[in-house]
Amino acid sequence: MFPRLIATTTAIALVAASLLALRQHRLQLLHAMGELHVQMDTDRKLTWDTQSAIAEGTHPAALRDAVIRVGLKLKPADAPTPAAP
Amino acid sequence: MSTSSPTEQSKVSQRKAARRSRTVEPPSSPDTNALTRGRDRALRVGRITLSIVTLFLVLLLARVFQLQLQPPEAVGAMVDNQISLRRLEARRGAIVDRRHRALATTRVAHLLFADPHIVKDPNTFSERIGYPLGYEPAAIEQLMAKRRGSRYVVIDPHMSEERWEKYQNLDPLRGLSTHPVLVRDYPQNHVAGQLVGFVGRENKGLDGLERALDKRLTADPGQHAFVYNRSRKRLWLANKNYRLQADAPPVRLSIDLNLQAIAEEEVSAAVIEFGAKSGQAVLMDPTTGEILALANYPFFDPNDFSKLKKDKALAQAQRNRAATDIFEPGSIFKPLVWAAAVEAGYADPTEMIDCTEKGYWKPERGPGLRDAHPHGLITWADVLKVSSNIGMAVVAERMGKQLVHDVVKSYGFGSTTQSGLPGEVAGLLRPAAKWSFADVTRVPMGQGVAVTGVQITRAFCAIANDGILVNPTIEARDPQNKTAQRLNITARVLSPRVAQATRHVLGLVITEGTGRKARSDLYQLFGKTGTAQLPDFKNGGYHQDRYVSSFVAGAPLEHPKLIVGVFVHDPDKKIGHYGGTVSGPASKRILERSLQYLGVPSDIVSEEEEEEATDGSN
Repeated sequence: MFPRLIATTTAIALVAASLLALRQHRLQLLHAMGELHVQMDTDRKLTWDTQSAIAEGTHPAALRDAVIRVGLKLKPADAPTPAAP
Repeated sequence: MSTSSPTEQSKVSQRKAARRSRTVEPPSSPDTNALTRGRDRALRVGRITLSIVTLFLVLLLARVFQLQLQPPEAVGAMVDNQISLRRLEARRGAIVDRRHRALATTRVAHLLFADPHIVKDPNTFSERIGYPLGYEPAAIEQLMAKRRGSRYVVIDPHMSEERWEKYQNLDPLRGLSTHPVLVRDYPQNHVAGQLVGFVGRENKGLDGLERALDKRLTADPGQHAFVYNRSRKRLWLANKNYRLQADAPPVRLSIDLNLQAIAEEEVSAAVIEFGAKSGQAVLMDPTTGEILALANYPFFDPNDFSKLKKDKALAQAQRNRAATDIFEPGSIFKPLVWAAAVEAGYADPTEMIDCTEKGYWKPERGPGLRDAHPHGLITWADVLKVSSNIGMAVVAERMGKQLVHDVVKSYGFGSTTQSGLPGEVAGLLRPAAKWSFADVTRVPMGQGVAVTGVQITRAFCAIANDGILVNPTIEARDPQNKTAQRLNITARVLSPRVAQATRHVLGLVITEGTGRKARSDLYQLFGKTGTAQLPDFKNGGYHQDRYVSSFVAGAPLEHPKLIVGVFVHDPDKKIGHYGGTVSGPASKRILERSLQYLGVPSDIVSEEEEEEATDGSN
């Protein structure tokens, strides 16, 4: 009787420990998932800000100013030779 | 090795048997009974204990179920306090040009707010944030005093980047906090400002394409709930209340940012040079109907929309006049009727038309007409080249009012172009039945009708596109989509032969006629000038010294890639007022710069190259 009781108790204890470990693992995963969620949201917004900054930087007037500031001497592209008639 | 006798062996076996018989049959002594009773009692106690423990566990399990399914209010409130809903911001659709460069986009800004309930000394508080962040401390104090009972006083709805950086370096201050907010940004400032429009504080489109496309641009925000522990540390996502956000897709316009900038530069230069009130430029691809640039001067920066109520000039500049304002087109209307007359056989380009030696002609019915200069007997082609009113009227009289009306209508005048431009108007074209005798001869020279800049530029696209009138659009079209291309066509209004002939006569307008100031050294242009008097709404009739100076042109002559219309309103007559003088050079520069930008090769052969080609052939 006693050995059986011990065996049953041990088995139940093992199952309970496994369940607890699984539960803990699940909570840790949920936590990591939540953190990733927040990180993704932050990164998305950072991307929006970057896109906005790029758009400001590629404004035709901004590009022209940059060319002047850097001192590049640009000239219009040579008109290609017209095709032979 | 020891040995034993059989007698000894039988004795041993007898003893073993006796021992075995003792263990099998318990003795019925009083001590054995007591042991049995004790064992039964222990078993009973064990069973009862086990039952109690089991009952306890069952009750515990029931309680767990009850807490899960129907928790008491107090417990529910405690749990709710640990769950916090967060809004998942979704991005309003961006408005981008045909090369995906952003014209309107959404970014994150930070709202600065205070909780006066926590602030002990508003005076010190306002000074501690006012000076380092660049706010007026008195204004902050006033804000907080005004809303004393509130726990949320907004100090700055959108902190600038510099202030946000300074705020992050600021020592933590009780009662002061920020939270992110989405703001609409117009990174190109005034470039295509009137076209793009703007949104209000609630991110709702109020003007321009922001308003017209509001439904498509509006995003669907989501939400998620986080479980926090007692010290407000974020633990994990709650199972319920999760809804994924959906960003709105971007809208790709047909506008090209660089072409738009070129058009705006040139039209503003023309308006300033000639002391005009305003100006517009429309640049179109004649084959697809895509509007590549739509410039309006004075400019409007959508970032300044909050100043609209106070600034009347800004409110005027806000309108996209190229699509919303109508004007009498004047002589730029002539090529349309000229081509239709050739198409219908009422005149031939080489036919001689009597434009009178005096420069005055009286039609059969209706008032007389004058030319700026007398032209005498000239060909029908020269009528267009020198822009003779009399020549146009003579042939229009042959056509009759119904045909002239139908021709004008076939180019799409009198109805909106369905381009998708917000606030676009239909213009003014009365039914033929309501035309007077004067209208038959006046309409072909661009009087008695009112058009928008987009309408007249689109009509010229038919001449450039070998007679096919296309539907203009402000959204980019897919060049690979053949079905869309077919649907894009409104109608054929001219045969290719007549369209090409018209282009060649319009080319002469540039080289020998009224548009000589638009002559280009890079491309062969074709176009038409227009100088229309402004109507006098107060006294009736027309102003004698106020005009709309227009020029509509295209290039290259043989295979047109672009059509531009430049319309300058009310230039200073002392400086210049003819369409060829005011708008011609601007049109030429827009076409030259745009075609170079698009990589279209020059179609003008220099004399040296011509000689080389001749020598080579010899």
